[in-house]
Amino acid sequence: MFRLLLKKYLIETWLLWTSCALVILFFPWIRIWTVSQFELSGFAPLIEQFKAFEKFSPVPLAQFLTYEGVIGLTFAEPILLLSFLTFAIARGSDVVSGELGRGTMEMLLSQPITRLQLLLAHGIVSLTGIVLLGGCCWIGMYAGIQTNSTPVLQPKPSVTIPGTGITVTNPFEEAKTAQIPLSQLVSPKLYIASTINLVALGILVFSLSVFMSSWDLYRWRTIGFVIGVYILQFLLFVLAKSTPRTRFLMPLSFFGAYQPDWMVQAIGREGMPMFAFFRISDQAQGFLGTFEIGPLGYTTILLILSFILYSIAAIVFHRRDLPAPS
Amino acid sequence: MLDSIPIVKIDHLTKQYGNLQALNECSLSIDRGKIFGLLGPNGAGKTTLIRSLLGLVKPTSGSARVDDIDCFDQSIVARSRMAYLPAEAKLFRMMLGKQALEFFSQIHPNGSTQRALDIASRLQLDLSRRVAFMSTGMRQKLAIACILACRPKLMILDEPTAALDPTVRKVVLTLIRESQQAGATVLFSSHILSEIEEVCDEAAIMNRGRVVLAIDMKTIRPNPEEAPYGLKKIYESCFDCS
Repeated sequence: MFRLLLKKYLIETWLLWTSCALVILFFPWIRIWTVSQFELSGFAPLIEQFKAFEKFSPVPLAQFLTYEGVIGLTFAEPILLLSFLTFAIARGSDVVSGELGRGTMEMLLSQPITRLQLLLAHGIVSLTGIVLLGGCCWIGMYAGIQTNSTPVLQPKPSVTIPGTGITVTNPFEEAKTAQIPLSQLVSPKLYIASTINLVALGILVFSLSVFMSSWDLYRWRTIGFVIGVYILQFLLFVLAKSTPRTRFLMPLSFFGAYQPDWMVQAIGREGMPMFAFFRISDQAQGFLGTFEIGPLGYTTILLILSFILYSIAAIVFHRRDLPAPS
Repeated sequence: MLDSIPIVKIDHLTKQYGNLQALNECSLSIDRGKIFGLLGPNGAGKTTLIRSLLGLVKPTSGSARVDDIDCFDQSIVARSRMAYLPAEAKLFRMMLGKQALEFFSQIHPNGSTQRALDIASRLQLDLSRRVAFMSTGMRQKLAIACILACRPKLMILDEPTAALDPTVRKVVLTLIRESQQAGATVLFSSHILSEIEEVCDEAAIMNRGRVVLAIDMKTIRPNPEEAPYGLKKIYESCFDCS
């Protein structure tokens, strides 16, 4: 019985999943190819112009002069986020209000299946889809890093004067660039934590959609609500980052726990373990030191929120009367 | 033991949606092996009654039992003994006709894919077509095949022939009678009085959330030629009185 429900949801999901997967698979590769066309040190004066906006950035702007930093920005790209969110919202909103709107819920629930079974089968298929989309994203990045090379400025030829230890650069020689494979500069493993964080954001938006769908009657309204909440959360996040006075708003936005850029920096530069829940800083300020949430800590926050929303959705759906199709 | 108990026993069932009272102390019992017609104007409470039997809505008070099983507290067990065809049945649009047929015949404990395929061929259904591209009538036929293949103890049909042409309607009514002969009880909700008169053994007329009249069809068709007028007269007089 459960297998049949899984099959039903697979039939309904595969086309949307395939289209999102194609975008998510190829977009990171194309983006990395674009990044690999430039020698990044040339952007230093440009980055300097944006110093005033550094407070909005999760990482120091200097990070954007490194390949690992620029590739890490893929996780903030609207195309990638949009593909993930399209899948999460479309599937999440469909489970109750979608079926009710199409009039299929009545016939489905007149079968000897529980509402929890229905929700669970839908959840398994959709969550697997989101995790696989995350896999596609990482594979796209891996392929991008492995197959592209980038021009890197080589140091000018120099001569060390014997006995003096003084090195003299040849002033008549022009600086040369050499094509270096990106795989020598960036490790794809660096992006695993960020990808998991992206998957967790997808799961949270999916759970939010299921929660809205569980009490709603119209799918279009469910989608509208979810997009509204998403925009509101983003505005809260931007506001919280703007000034120290509004920092208290940060815990009210789930974007506070979506930190893929910061993860790239923390793992790549500061050597934080990929699966750390938290870190007590070595530069102890006071007896206990400084507490800092780790990559897995942020991801866990998103997953706990998702679990809470999904559980409430299950309770609401279990208790509600099913209205007749309009 | 169970055979002596009515297959459907509704006892003082009340359902309130905010200020709207959809069912008002409604009581009804249906004996096994009968085709039972449910009549009433729009908003009389027929659909809410059916939905209460399926456990889709929680009763405000009273009880509904199918095969002596509480329809809300033991909803899954009760539903395993029922099959339901909604008015304007909607099936999963992304599925092929055959996939939808397999889904419903396999998900029900008494379902049989072979039986469903046989019924589909009697209804001249093209199962290779995607549900989304089927006409309303074809979808209704597909839903009928899905439901009839389940061979449940209680079959609930809400306006099963509304979207069908007269030839197919005849086949469907024959299939319903065959199900009855195979031991099923049928709860048949319809606005077409002649159809109720033609196939039902008993009927009940609902208005304002309660049963206002129960009819044994034998009593109103002593003369088959007068049949369509007999029930119509009773139906109309029922609402004149109320």
